[in-house]
Amino acid sequence: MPIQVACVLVHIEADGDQPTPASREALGEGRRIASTSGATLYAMIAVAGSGGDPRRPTRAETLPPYAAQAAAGATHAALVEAVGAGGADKIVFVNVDGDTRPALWATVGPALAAACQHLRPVLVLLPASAGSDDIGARLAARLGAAYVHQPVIEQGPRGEVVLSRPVYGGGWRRRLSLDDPDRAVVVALAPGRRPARGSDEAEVLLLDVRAERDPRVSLVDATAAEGAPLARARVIVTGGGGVTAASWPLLVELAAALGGEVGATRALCQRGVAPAAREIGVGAQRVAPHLYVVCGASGSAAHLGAVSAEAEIVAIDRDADAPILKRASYGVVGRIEDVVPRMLAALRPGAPS
Amino acid sequence: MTAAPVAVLLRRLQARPGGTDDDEVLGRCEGGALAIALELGERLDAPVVAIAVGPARREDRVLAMALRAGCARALRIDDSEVGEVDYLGLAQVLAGAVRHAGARIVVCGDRSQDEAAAAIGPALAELLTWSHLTRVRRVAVEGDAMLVVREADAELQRLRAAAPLVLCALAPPVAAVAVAVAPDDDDDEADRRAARRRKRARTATSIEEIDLADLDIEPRAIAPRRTSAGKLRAVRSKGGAVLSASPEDLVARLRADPLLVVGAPAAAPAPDGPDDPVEASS
Repeated sequence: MPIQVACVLVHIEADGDQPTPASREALGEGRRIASTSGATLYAMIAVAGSGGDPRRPTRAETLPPYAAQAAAGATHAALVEAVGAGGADKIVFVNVDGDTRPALWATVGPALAAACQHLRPVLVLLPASAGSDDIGARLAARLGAAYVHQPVIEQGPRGEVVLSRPVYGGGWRRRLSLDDPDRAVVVALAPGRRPARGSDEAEVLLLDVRAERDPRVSLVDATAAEGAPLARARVIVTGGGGVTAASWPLLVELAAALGGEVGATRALCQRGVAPAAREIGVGAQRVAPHLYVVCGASGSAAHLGAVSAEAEIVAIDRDADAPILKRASYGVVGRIEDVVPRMLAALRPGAPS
Repeated sequence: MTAAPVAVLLRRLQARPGGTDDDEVLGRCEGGALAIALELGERLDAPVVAIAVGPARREDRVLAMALRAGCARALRIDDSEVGEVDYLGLAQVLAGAVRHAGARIVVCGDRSQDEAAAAIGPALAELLTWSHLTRVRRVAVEGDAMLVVREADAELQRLRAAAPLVLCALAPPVAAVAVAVAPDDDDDEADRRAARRRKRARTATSIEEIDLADLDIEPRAIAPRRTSAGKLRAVRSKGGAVLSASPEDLVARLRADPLLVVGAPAAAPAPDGPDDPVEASS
């Protein structure tokens, strides 16, 4: 028997009066899981406010559990509408002393933890964001929960939710089932989930708890980062050590023809062929494309460890025994200088298919 | 007066569970952590303590490398009683080691290259009740605080943070890869081998081995974390890629799959236009 999941909670990061695209995707995933398991889907939003009264204990039973519902709904009407339309059954606002941006443990983590301690969700979903990287494991540690980073989410044979992720460069998988009602699981999602459509009629609640941000961390400023489009690109063409300065422009052209972005392994960036901002790898940029075209790269753990498990890999390599061809779904053996121009020709409008 | 030590958490890169990688010793993020810790140690006039959990045959090479790079002390925690615990079990052991070292700043890799779970630093900070920051690119000392450059989704954030603090470092920037450890540079191969042997002998004696009892940690206390790690299974080979006879054939296959939507926008689809919307159950 799969366990009964009573409560799924999704953390919503807001950009102005709208949830971020990653938060909409997380809501969509939460909606799918809640719908199949009969759970209530809570969306938690931390908002700048006065916070709870610090003199009062935060134990739920000594508080009126929810208050000022109307006030929260009126102040954040557009956000409530969007999150309700995204699939939430209930929207929980928690006030935080001070600014809630950027999304970090130091800013919103304690508020999220307070909501989890009150609602006791079996599953907490965090959107695919750098903020969730900061929040996820610490939230799990506070709750004593399991933590799973960017898993593939599937249904097990007994209807249970199964979380699995590739490790050790894809040669192994780590798999965790939601089959213990006493063990909560915090999941930081990978990008690329489908949003959902809800009923638009989510109930709005204001959780009256004390949630102080960490005063020892403060934002000085923020500037746009180079290479930012890679993180949410759906198609990426990546060059590895087998790419030369002469063949790199072909990859740029192929990426453009596929409506995607161009990336590079560390080896290629180190040689100065590709800009450092285009580096994809563990410790550099992580990506979650639908289609990942790899040209002249071996497919090391340091490279593919930063590519979503759900990406379809297509490899172009001159070596028929290249390890990347064991990981890829499709491949072609040949020199980049020969293969890519012919792909470009085949992709042109009017080319025979 | 010397400042409190800076601790750097290191771990030998593993190519498979329990098996080391012969080509690479440190993951990229651990390399970034070591570089940042050594720089902080210099700026703060603080000794840097390298900490690793695991058997000598695996971790001493990493710790010896850290000592050669400039760490003042190396601690290795014997893990024979730890078993395969999850992120929180390992963080409990590391928290004990950090307290044992007396550090007030910890630098670790943002994520390991093998598991890439990005969990140890934040969990450690929670157990120590310290502040933490992930995805750290650079750190500068500014009076009593640190000025930390953090790489977020589409921006670089500069944050001011005060110790006690856990910093989770990304890989060093491409141009600075050689910072962490310089290779031996003797000319003659025989001399080089002899020098390496001497160094190993010297550094092996300076690695301090401690166990859970030294850290006042009961193995029973972390044993429950074994069930939260998830089950590890080898992936059966799917037989490799479907090879196309020609580039044109490859494009045709991708179109048929259909993996290609030529001219599609690079970004994710708009949220209000899902292919397969799921209606709310309520």
